[in-house]
Amino acid sequence: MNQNDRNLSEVLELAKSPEERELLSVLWRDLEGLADGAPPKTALASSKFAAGPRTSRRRLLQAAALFAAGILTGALLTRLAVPNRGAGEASAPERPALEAALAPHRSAAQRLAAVHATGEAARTEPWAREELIRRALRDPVPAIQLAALDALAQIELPQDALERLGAGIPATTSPIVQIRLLDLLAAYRSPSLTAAFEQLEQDDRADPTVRRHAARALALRQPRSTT
Amino acid sequence: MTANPPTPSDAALMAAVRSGDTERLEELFRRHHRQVYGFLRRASRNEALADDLTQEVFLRVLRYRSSFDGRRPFLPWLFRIARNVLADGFQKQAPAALEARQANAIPDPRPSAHRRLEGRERLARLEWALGHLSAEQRDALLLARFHDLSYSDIGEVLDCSEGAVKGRVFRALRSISELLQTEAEPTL
Repeated sequence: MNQNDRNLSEVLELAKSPEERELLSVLWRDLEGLADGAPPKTALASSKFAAGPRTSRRRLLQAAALFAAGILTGALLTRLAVPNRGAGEASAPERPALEAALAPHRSAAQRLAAVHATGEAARTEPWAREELIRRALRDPVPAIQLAALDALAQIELPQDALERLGAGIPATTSPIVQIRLLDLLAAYRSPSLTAAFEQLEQDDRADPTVRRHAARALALRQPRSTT
Repeated sequence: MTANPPTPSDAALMAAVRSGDTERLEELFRRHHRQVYGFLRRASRNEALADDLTQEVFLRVLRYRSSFDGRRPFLPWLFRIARNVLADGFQKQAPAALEARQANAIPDPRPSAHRRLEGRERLARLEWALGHLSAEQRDALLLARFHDLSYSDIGEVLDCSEGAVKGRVFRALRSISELLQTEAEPTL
């Protein structure tokens, strides 16, 4: 029994009836769905904690690189601002700039900023949606994958996009990214995703929390009782 | 065959931080920042605030490193800092920016959007109910449910007995249940 189960078990001892125990158990399980969100500012944030006198030359260079990246990102975002426009208007000026900003050689900070800008474009531009899917499945930085998934959660995804995202879950190495992928896809009731959820739920090598989210995604697909 | 060096414990890392090796704080950050962020995110329902406060938590770990008792476990001390930071953060910032974003969200008229809301609606109601708990009940429940802490450890975080923690968790769950029933009842 893990700590979580022990905590529940001890609390249920305070319940006054089997019905109350059942009710509290269901609530405890349902709380699992409360997302903790993407923990942003991972590698970047840690650079704040270097002490002054002990700061190595390497850290100074890292800080300078981050500062320069910030300047470049700011300049890039100024060019990437998506103006209000109707559907179908040409997005030629934005697309090359966004694609350039998302190139693998760009820093994580630049790619992250570009993902946010691409999220805006994805509301009307299929190419932007495709780029977000690529970032979500293949970017080497989990924070960027999560940002891409957040952006994809704001738009309606077609069937083929859902299937590609579902097929990409096993290859994703970060459990927190897998969980966000599952939560995103669970909101859709596409039968073609069931196999992907089942595979993950039954994978002994998968993170236990990931498997629980896969089980939850499957449970959400159960038909409601009409009686 | 050489064995891998043992992974230093949290207490060992904090001891190093206390003796001046502040770079060890990075390892503590890597180990625990997700947990801290998760706690702050669920307690505040505000991602931006949780992000800022997470940074502040580890800055305070550095600032108050001399107050850490190496004979005690690290996580309860860390979460005590997180609770204090949360309380300070609420005083400084407007609460429930998330609710403001939801209020401004453009409703999606497409039929499929209604089906997508079912799971999200349930979670939104849970979040709403959680936000209506007292800070003591909320924090006890979050620490017990999401952070693998024993009730004894949580008692150290909340500065109360193990029995009191269990009571708070129990009342928190019961309050959520009552709030959800109240929110679901139709108004006449």
